[in-house]
Amino acid sequence: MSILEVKDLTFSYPDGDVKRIILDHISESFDQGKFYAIVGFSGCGKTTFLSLIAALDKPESGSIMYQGKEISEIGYEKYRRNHISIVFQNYNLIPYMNALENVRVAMGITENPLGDDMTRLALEHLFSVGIDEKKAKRRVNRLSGGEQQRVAIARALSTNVDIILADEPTGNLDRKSSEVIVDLLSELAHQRNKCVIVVTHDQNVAKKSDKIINLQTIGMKLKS
Amino acid sequence: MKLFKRVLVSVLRRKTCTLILLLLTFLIGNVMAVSIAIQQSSKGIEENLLNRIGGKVLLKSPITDQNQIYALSDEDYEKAWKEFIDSYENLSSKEKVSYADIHYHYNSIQLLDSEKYDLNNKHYENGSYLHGVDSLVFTDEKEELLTLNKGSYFTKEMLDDGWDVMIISDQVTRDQVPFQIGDRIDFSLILTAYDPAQSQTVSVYEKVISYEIVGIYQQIDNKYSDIQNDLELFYVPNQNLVKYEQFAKDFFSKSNMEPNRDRLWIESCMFRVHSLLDLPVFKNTVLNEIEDKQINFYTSEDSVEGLLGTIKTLSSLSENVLWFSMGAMCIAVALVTFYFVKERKHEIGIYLSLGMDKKELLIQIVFETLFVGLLGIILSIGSQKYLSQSFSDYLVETMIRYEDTEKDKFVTNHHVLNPDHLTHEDIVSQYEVHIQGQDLILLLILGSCTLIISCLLPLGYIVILKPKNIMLE
Repeated sequence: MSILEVKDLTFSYPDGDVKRIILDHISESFDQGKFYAIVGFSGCGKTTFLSLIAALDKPESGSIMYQGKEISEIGYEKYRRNHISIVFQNYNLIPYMNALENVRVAMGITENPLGDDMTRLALEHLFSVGIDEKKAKRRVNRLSGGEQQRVAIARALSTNVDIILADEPTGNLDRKSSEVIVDLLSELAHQRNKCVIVVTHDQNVAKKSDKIINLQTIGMKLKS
Repeated sequence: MKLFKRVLVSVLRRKTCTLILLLLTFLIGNVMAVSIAIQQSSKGIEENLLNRIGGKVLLKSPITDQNQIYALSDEDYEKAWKEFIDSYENLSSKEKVSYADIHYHYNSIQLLDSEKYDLNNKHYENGSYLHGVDSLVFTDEKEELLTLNKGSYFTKEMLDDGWDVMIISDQVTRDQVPFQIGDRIDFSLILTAYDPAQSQTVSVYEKVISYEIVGIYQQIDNKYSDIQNDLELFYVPNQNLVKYEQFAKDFFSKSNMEPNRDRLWIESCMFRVHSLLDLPVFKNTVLNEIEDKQINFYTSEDSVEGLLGTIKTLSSLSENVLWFSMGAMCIAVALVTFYFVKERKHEIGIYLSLGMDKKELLIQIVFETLFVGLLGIILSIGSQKYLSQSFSDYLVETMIRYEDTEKDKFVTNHHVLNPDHLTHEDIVSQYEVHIQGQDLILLLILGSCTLIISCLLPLGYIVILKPKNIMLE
């Protein structure tokens, strides 16, 4: 069974007197241990799709099921807390905290079992993405963009969830850093059995994925 | 990282925000602390003063006013006198009354010049008069105004039959007149009448009354002693004054002269209840007793009220300032916290995208505000001591300048209720602002409530925030 399944997902925005349909009856399923890339031109609904499967928004119609159960039944907050992690383009770290504290915050929110020594675990996750102890105790706004994104990935890992969602994770990074981050995400899927879904317009990222979902082919429709 | 750690990290790392909120709550906290301290101190001083004066009731009527009695017709005077004495006797027998006292006064009996002594040329040029009493043990001794150090009090027989006996102040014996128990001091009953031929009042009868000294008292040193020195040197039985007034009445009834007769009047009539707690009940008893009669009454509470006018104004002002400062704190903290929460919109979005329960997030914001706000208020407790004393001293002094002399008159007129003759200045000099444990608890409760209310605006903002709009905008 797929870990995440989307059926007939529809979403639209009001645009003056008309309704701009962004997603029209999208159906897709996602498995653990695979790396998915969602591509398409700007405004085709990539980020909207991500926000729906991340339970940051509610679909107009259709269903999103986690392990066969509607996420609305699980509860949006609980679903975000225990089943998914999101990596954003602009990292979204808490600026007055250091890298370690940013990871510890996420670990303090999830209800998943993580172990007793949280600080050691958090450091292990940071080490696994290439952040050493010295950098782990540095304020995140004193780290480079690539390092901040690694911290964001470590935070996503730390909550022990099955699904990792990423919205243009390499959008603000140089080529070298981008490659490192994509490799990390790929490693999460293939070596740690996570379901990694990345929204990207970067063909290099898409090439490394196991499956490319092109929302562009669905297109946009206008309804009066 | 759990809630309290997050609160602590947020407060300690966001230094500018913390300092602004701390400064704000410290400043307004000072105003609140000062207001509470002034109010509590005012209550304290009122209680102390009431305990010091005790539970007393003073009866007043036209016959207790030397000026008013001459405006009464003979019939009205007799009626007023009877009403007053009946009320006094009824009330003095009540269970709540510890002791009562009534002092008669009769102007027609005056100190007589003598070859043996010259009291009139000593300290008594303002005129000395006889101070009537009707109790076996002087209530003035119970009130700690004097103590009998030679001789004895009047016996029941002396009181009932109005003997020519007196108890004098040792002030008289100190003025180079070494009176002893058993000596006599001469007074003169002088009756006057209008003489149409001379178009003036003339003396028509004089009678020497030789009072035997049965006791000598010593005044207990207090501010009231200065007044008493001039006015109340000679205690005689009330019935003695009644006897000579009756003599005057009889004299004029047998003559066809137009009398310029002095009337017996009551200098004071006071009831002391067992405790302050008995005062409200006794007040009701007095109200029932004097219903439909031309009698008023004042209590020690009224006297304290008069003395505490300035302090009470200050207390009332402080109460208004307290409410105002709570309102100001509410608005200021709400706006500042709202601004900071807006600044932290992204952080809030991160928490929400991580799946944090909104309730937990709201609690975090409230705890952060309470943590910093209460710290500011606690710090203000330290500085309020100096501030509240200086501020209230300044206010009291300013207010006293505006006080007219009416209240001073009030105090003097009610000296029976205020035996120490306390004045506004005495009260103010004793007015020490201090904050106690219970006041601190009150301050912290009011401060906490104000801070929680001030969180409503930022909390409302958080409730309507959508994580998608923040994180994916």
